[in-house]
Amino acid sequence: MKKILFYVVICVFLVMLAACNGSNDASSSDNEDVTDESNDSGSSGDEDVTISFSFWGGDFDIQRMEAIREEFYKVNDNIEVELVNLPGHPDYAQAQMTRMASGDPYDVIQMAEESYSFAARGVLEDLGPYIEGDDDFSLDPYYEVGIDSYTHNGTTYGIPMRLGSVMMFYNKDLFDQHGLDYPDENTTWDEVIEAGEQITNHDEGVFGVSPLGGWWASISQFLHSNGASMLSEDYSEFTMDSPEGIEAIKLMQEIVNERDISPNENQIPEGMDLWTSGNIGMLIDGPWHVLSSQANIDSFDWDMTLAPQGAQPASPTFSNAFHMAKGSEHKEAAWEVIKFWTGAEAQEILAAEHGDTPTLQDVAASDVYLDLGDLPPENFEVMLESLDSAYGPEASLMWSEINEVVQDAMSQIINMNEPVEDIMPGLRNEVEELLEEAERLQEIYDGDMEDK
Amino acid sequence: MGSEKRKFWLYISPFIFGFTVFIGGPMIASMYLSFTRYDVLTPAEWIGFDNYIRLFSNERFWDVLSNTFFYVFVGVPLHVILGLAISVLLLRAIPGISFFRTAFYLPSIFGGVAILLLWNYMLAPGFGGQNVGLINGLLSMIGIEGPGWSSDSNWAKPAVILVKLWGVGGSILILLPALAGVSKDLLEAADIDGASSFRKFFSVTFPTISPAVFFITTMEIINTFKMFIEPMIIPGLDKSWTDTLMVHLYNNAFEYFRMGYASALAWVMFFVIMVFTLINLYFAKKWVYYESK
Amino acid sequence: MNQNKPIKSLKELKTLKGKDKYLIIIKYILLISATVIFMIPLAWTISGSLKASGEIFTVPITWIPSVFKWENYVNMFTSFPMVRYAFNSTIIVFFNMVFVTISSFIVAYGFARFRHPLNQTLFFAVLATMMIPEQVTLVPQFLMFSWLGWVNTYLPLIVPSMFGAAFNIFLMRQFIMTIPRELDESAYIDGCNSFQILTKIIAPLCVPIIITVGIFTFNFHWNDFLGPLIYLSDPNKFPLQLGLYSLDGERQGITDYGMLFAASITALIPPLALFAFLQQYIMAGIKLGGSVKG
Repeated sequence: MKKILFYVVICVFLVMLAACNGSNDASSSDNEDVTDESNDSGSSGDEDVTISFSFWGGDFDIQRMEAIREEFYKVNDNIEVELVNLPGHPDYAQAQMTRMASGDPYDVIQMAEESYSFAARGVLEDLGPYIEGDDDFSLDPYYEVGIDSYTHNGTTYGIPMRLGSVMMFYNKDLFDQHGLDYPDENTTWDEVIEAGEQITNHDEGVFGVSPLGGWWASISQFLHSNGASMLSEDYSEFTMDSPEGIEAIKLMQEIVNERDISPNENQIPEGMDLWTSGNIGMLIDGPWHVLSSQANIDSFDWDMTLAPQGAQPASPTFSNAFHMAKGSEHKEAAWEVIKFWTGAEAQEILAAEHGDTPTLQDVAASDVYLDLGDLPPENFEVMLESLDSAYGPEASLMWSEINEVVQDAMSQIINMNEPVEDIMPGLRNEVEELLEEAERLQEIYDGDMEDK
Repeated sequence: MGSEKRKFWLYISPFIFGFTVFIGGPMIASMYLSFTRYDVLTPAEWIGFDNYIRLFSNERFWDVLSNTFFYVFVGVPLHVILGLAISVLLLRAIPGISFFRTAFYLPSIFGGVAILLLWNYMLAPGFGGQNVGLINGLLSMIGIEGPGWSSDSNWAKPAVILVKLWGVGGSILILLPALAGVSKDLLEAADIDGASSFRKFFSVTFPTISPAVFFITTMEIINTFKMFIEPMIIPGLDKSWTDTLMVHLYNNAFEYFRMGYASALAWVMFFVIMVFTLINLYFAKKWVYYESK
Repeated sequence: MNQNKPIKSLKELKTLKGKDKYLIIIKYILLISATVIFMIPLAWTISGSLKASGEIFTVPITWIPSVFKWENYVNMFTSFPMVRYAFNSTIIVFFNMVFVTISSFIVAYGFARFRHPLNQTLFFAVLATMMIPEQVTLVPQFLMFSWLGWVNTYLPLIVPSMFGAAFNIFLMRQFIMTIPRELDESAYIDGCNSFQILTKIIAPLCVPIIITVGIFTFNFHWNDFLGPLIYLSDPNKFPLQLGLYSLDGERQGITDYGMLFAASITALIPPLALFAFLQQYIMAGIKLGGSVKG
């Protein structure tokens, strides 16, 4: 009968669709099982293993990853690396969760501040045994701040390839115009404000200082340089509303509002970039501006130095690290990949970009990284100096959510000029609630771990 | 007869199967999840009413609920009125009418991210009269200084509604045929009685098209409750000005891994939508006129 | 005078007198100004897609670019995987259109033609599923699909379509109800079975509603965002809407506005073309109870 035929056709379609996809998975995992065994037994068998390696980033990052992979292939025959470029925050963590939930995680996972929230849930591999069991590898040559950011409660889950701190870039032409001295490593916030006031020219749309408080590192830089912090050291208390913290936040508010020398959200024009078009005196932001400035600035001279000091220097440092999924089926191979990607050969490829700082101290201090030839900025070496006052993000279990509520509150203070005293109690409530939840979850996760 | 019954089941079986697997089953599962703490990566844990308690004590929930209500109470009536007004204009076939009909319908097929991203730029408020988007640029041409839209707490929600209104064409598609079905005899009879245009609209036209009006009202209410993409792409400077229940749900489920909480939220939404639908149905009896068979 | 009497030509328009004449003038003024308001955003973005980034946001608005930057459309293909995204969208949309139309049509036929004590009740259940917010099922569906290992494939975006969609079933049932049963009966007497009646008698008469549902499905899935956002993580599998979303400036540093505009405009072309070709069917396809006799 025709209608039965019709249903058969529909069912066949369904099965085909499912099969296309399922069969791929099935066949590849069959292969994997075989190679897995050979790896576990320690022999370097001839079977090829494919390691999936997920990361986020734009064209620059993709090119770098591919270049490193090429080098990797030169020394390694039987590990295939499948690079998977995923969309960045906030979709990245979801993509990872999804893969893990379906029992098919990427073997190697680039992660930044979310590292801990995944590690706590027991889905990331403890790299300790791999590090100890590998004679070719040691954590010592790495910048401590990089390793620390991915070591949670004494367990190292990720190894970073690159890091960078908040820096200050300045438009030399604007300083010359007003007969001002260029800022240097010792420049304080007071001096920045002073210079900013002179440089700011609203009629021409010129601001002394770049927008403030748009992301965690900007807020953190103010807090830390003022001796304050968002959370207590063990991430159990909200400390942003300490007297020092309040003072730092009020200073940000003042710079943007009363003094109006840094644009608020509404003053940032659509369709043009304030810094590269020469409308910002001092840009306080991440080191990626080195590359984008080299590419996009031709109308003025510029240079860079450390981010301004308050009571102390502060260089919030961000990085990302390569983690291994606990559910990976070829952990030995994944470790080989992580090791190579964070090793000297890979880092030299990164260093040659003269952007983010390599995490291996030797590579960072070498000419490969520091010698820019004729390109600006002259003071590129301060990139290394910034690491003296470096510290990582306060990436607790609830990082992304705490970060978000803090950001919202800061936006109200900075962009809408709401009184700090009105905003802080509400923020404290919200963050405390999240910290309580974090504590509750932590207990559960710790219990789960013990059960295992 | 037995064969007719069997055929009935046979033909509707895809729906029955789909309903069981994709709606009924998941609904039961979601009910269960709403009483658990579940983050996908670690096992679910029964926590009773905790999710519901946390939900109602969560300030964010009340923000997004009141935003959603704003979109429903302000956006839906505007949508229906505008849809009706344009449909009435478009009804009579006059030279050029198909051009006009197309012009109004077009925006409604552009529902995706592409057009919303563009709206984001169209609503750019600019600064000091410079770098402004389309809307404020137009307003400045007639001497009005436009509001800050997304960056202004009072205008962030209207901005979202404005963008949604642009897509009113979908409803016009349903209203127009309804208007065309209004009995010409009745209208002529009303003419002979000397009824005014207003009177004719409310005593002849509106009763006839009321099922269509009811239909689009119901669909709009439901769609507005589910609104997600607009506040995602055109968020207020402070997201709590514009976020809807659905955005809150998405964030909790897929960004903060709170599947249990998100499920509880889904059930609260379900309940709210049900109440609204029932209220709508109740009042519908008073104004929706069904032709007797 | 019946004010809904069609006016077929300009000549006829000129013959209008008195009140009718003024009414029609007012109507044109209203229509033209409303059309301008509705079309301006499109005009602005089309003009923006041909401008250099710096020129898009100038005051007063310039409608004609000072220099036509056709590169924006070239860049769209060279520095943005436009073709791949469009292809992915097409795959998703195509399968959905085929599956949902066929399955909804079959179910609608069942409801429209076969008597059963539960017919009314179940049809009401179909309508009721439209009221169920999909978020109630979102999380478990996601868990189910990830358990099946279907995440990061198109299956979660396509398979549910194989079982009909409430709105489509509703529209199609209403349409089938308007087809006289006598046609079925005479075909039955000629020896057709119910499925042949569906394919040979009902389907040809239902072309307008089938096309309407097809267009709705196309638009819905072409514009769908939440589904791909949740289920797809590999950018190589992204449909256009998700690709554009990741192109948005906030995520990637300095925005190439001209290219973003060009890509967005291009994303609008397929639904536009489909509408242009199939416009007349849509108007004929919508038949709601009460508005049309039957």
